[in-house]
Amino acid sequence: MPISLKNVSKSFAGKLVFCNATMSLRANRPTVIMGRNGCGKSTLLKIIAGVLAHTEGEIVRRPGIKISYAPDRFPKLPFKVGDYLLHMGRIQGISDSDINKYADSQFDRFGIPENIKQQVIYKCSKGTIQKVNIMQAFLTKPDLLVMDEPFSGLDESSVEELIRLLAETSDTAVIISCHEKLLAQRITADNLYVFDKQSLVKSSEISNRVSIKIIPGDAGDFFNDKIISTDTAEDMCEIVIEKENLKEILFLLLENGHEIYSVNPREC
Amino acid sequence: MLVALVKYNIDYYIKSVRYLPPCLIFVVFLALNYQTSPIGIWSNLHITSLAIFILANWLSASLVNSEDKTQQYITRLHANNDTVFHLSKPVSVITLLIPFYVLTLLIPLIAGSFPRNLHVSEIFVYLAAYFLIGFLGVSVGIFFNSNIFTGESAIMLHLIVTGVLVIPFNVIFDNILPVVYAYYFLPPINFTADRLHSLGDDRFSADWTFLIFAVWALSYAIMLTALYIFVMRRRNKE
Repeated sequence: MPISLKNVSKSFAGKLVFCNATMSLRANRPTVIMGRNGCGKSTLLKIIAGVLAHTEGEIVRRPGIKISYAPDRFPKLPFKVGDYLLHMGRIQGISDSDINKYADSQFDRFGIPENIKQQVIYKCSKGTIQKVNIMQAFLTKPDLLVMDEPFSGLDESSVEELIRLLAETSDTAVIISCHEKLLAQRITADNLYVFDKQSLVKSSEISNRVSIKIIPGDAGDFFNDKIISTDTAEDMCEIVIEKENLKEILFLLLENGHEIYSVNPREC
Repeated sequence: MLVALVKYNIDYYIKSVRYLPPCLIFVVFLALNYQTSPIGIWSNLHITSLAIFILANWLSASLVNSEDKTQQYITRLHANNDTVFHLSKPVSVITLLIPFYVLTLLIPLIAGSFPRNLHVSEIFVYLAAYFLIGFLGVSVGIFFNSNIFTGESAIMLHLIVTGVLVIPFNVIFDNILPVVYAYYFLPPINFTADRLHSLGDDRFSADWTFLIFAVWALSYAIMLTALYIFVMRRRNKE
């Protein structure tokens, strides 16, 4: 197992981004993380890649692990595409001829014209920059591949190529963040995680959760042990609980003078 | 891997054109210094060595911050060795400085400014002294960009320290003992530059004091560089 996380949390300047992220990443079992914008997906991926520290919890990485990372926003660099891949390959100790061979094959795969190699990255289109991002991540066979929104900016055929490419990485543990549920489900059937109220949960678990909105905006603390999360606004409070506790908690809320505004199932 | 990282850093830095202001100012200074200064070649070499310190300081401060932060993550992971990744930054600046050392010595040699022929060993000593002062400049420059000091006050502190190191306060205030002693704890920029000046008209012969200053300067630069790498390895993950 290249990496495992146990109750990992991250805060910036005392503000919690997410908490209790627990997962193990294995080869042949791609993992996908979903969640709304700003929920902490990119932060979690950076922590997994090892470029950002976590605040609490435990991360165990296999010693000497080789990690590749494709960020969500690849920088607009002043290098020509071909030169950039050469630099990144040389840093990994790959020979120039092997890097060129790899670049040619990937250019063919993603349908990039040959002349783009000589184009400066910051002048490339959004889609081409994303393809360069993917190409640098696949330069060598890593033990762990971390990709943040890799499908963003890609055309339909390139999305298919990337899914095929991911399927070929059999000895690599892969973790991806993704916005589209259908794409996520094509990559993994059972290893889909969702950020729900600052905590990372398996999508199968989230379907067992219910969200209750109550008035006034303070739920009190008489059933804290059964609450997964609370989100208090000025005049309303949203609490998330397990479906099995719904009846009991609704009864307690009404008994304590709360008005139930809505009850909804949680969704990915 | 270190060589590949240095080539990449230099290529990135040159493309960023951040090198232009310090390099242009240095070349203009060099031309003016050798052409117009009436104080003699030996003093000129002292002054140019201080200019090399400022150039090295400036170049390293701008090179360390030239790489895009997201790209830094990617490069670090490709390198798979944080120590080598951070070490590559000062090594890149030291490599960039080599043509300037040569230029600084070549101009007076070609112009025939020396009153006598320099021995090969003396040319080597000058280049070694420039290298030491350049390395000290690099180490001070990266140290103040290692996130130990942050914000606008860090820039001010960096400028003040650079001024303190370049201006020989220990000579100006030689009657104030604490100032004189405090200088022995700071990077020995002026002391090393003094060694160049003191060669003067006499042929250089290696003595213990020169060796002691060389070891002192080298140790100081290595210590600051090691501290930079240590801090960056810790801070980059926060």
